[in-house]
Amino acid sequence: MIVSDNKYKDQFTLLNKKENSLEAKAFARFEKMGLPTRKSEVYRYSNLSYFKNLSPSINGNIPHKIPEYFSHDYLKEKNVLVTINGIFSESLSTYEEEENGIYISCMCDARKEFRDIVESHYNETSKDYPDAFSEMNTAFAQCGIFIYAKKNALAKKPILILHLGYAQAEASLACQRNLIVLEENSKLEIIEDYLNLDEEKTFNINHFSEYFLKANSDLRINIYQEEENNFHFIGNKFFELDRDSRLKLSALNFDGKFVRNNFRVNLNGENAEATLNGIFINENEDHTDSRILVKHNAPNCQSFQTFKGILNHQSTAVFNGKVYVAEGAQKTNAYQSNKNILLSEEAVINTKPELEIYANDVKCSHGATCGQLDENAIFYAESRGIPREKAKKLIVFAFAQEVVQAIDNEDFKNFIERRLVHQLDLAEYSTYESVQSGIKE
Amino acid sequence: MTKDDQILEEATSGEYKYGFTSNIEQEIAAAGLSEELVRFISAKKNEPEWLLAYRLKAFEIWQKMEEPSWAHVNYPKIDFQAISYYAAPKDRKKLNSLDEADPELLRTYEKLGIPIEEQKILAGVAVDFVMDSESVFTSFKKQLAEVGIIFMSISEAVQEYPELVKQYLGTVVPPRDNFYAALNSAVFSDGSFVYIPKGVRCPMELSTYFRINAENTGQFERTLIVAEEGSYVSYLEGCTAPQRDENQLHAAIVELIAMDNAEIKYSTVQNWYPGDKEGKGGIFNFVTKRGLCQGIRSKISWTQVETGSAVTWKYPSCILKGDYSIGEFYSVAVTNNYQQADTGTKMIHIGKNTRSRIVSKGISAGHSENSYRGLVQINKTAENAYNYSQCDSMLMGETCGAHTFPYLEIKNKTAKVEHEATTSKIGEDQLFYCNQRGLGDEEAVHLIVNGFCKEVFKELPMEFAVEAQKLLEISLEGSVG
Repeated sequence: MIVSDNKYKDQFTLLNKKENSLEAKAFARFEKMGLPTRKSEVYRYSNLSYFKNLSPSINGNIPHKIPEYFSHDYLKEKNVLVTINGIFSESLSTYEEEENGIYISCMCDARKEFRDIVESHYNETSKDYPDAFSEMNTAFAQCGIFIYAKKNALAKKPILILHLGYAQAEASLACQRNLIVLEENSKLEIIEDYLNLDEEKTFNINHFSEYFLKANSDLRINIYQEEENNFHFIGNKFFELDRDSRLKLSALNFDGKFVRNNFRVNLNGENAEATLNGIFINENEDHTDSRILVKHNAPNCQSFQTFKGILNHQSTAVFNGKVYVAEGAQKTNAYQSNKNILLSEEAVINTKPELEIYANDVKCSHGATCGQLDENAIFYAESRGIPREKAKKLIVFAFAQEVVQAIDNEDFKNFIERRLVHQLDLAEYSTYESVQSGIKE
Repeated sequence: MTKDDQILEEATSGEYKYGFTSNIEQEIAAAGLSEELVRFISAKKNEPEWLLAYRLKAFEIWQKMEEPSWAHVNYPKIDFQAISYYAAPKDRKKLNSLDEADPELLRTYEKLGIPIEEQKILAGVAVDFVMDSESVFTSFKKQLAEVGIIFMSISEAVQEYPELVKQYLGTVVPPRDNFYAALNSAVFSDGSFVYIPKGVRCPMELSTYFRINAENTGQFERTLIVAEEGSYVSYLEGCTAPQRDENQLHAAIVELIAMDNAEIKYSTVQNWYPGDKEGKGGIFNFVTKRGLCQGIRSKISWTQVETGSAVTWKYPSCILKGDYSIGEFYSVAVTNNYQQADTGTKMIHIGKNTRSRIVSKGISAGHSENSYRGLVQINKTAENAYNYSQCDSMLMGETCGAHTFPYLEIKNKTAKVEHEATTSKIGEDQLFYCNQRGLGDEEAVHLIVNGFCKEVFKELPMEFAVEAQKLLEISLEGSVG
């Protein structure tokens, strides 16, 4: 679908970008591509008609009144970075600009202060990967977040990025853009949280983050997306991993009207390792689309993917994980699993785990399953006096544990566990939670 | 280079063993595709009006369609106007026994290693020998006729049983299904027609050997098998082709229909000319195969061993419409040198309590590309459907590719769907183990490869299983040591 109406063009003209700028080039590519349709294999199962009616927001949708947001106290110690409708908010954020060699700033400042680093990294990941939404993001991106970890820098506490939606202009799409660079031997932990503070208005984001992991660096990311009916999210996260670097990502999705997570990991150096885990719990008419591409470009790398889906009501979900092993990437070890439970008659899951392999000395496997709750397990619980409905929820709870337990930030893990207990209404059975929190407090 | 790599490399140099040309006079239509040609083919075969109309309609549809490009294969664009769409052996005289057959033909059989006489008597196989599109003779017809089974070339069936053909032709694979199906529907030359009446268990394995023989001739086979209530048939299809330099197009359609409690077992050994070691020449094999489990408790089982063809594009599928129906797909696909295969299956679950099973084994060597592409679709109406898929790939050589593209679409919560896939190579330890026990490298690799494929081979009828193993050894000769 070529972009036919002029709304993008008009918006872009307002930005006053130079003719040969990165933004202008990206916009030209985006115009040529247009929004993808379902004919495109990568969007085959997702209906993007909602996004057709949105136009990218440029300046001016920062709310006049700064909203109150409930403090996310699940992390005891943290740096907090806040964006509102996709724009970094200095006043709401509380962080040290420089601490233990970790620099945090908004993108606009970073372009001046860390010019070389920004120039050599910004938008580098999307070169060989044409995607309409990432191009749109590059063209329209507002002041996002820049995080830079110096050589040998070890972050003492995690960075919490809160993406808030508040009074977003009607039919607009926030283009949120981040750049994260980890130099050699550095270590960083990021937690991303999405929250719509506005009960009436929808919160629409086109998010694009780029991550560069230099030799022997270590990045942990936990993404938490929980919104009732009014959250539409398109996210591209591209990772470049050098030798011996490690990436561990957990994506936790509760509800969300439309959530598309596109993770692409390039393993460019030997011994790099990527672990991507995820859960999606969909209700009502929610739609989740998780697309993962792990490219093994160098030998001796490892990658692991574990994604679990729980679908209720008329919700739908897509899982498309792909492991690509390039020629010469020998001794690759790649594993991929996607397991789903359908709880209702109308729920639909489309899953497509792919392997594309051009090297012979590799160990690659994947598995995908879909089923309903095990009657025997339900009966077992029932025969011990647990009502049928609760028994089902207990089993769902257990099903999610594989991913929850793999989160390595204890505080965040406990929070997710409590959140699950709450969602599944299992308070009276959650000895787990009380034991856990009892020890902690 | 490690030892097993060396072994693999050594064996990839085997040349195609069945590459020879029979010199039989042929009648060939001039190259090119047009409405006139469709009329010419139809007239040549003395077809009834409805079939001509069917062909013309398909031709019309084909003209509006575009070649599919989604498969993981690369090949030069086909010039559909450069292909000759009709070739038939000139000798149309009906034969009653082998003595009357062209001695050249008999020699072809011998080279293929199919002693017809022996097979007739010992194995009890009725061979419907198709020499470039046209049935030359059909054996065992009488014996089959006794139990009411119709087994003849489809052009004959059009003359003798027009009602049956008209009723079922194109019901499982309609002309607008895809580009090549439309092409085939317009210009199909010949093929087999099998009809098993109610309650009959076919007393023998039915078999057709296809040969592509005339140079530069597209081959458009059409097979239709109908199994009535409670019947059973096992059908074998095997192919070898002479060595050629130009690419040849083969776009066949196979349609299977199984009524209540009927079972159809369809086995294929495909060994068309794969091109030489530089990837020059070879057959393009774009086939549409689909079975419809129409009745309750019906069963359709596909087994295929794919070793030939330069480019393969083939997805034998099952539509599980009847409640409790079963679909199965067993496949071994071997690619070597510059061969490309994109093959798999579709299991469409519509009826309640339907079950399907997919076992796919891909072996790639040399510079070849081997992809599994499959769809498992559980529709809303398919209560308690069950699917199990297993796709294993084995890589021999550093420059080949093995890919898996499974699609699982599930719209019913009672469905149980399991999919597994692995990719690996022959381990040095496995080779060492065999060497230790006195097996040479080549023998060891064959043993391991055969073990890898065993699950599929055991589904093949006995004579076929032997041939398949032999083929596998020939195809991998040189790539394995």
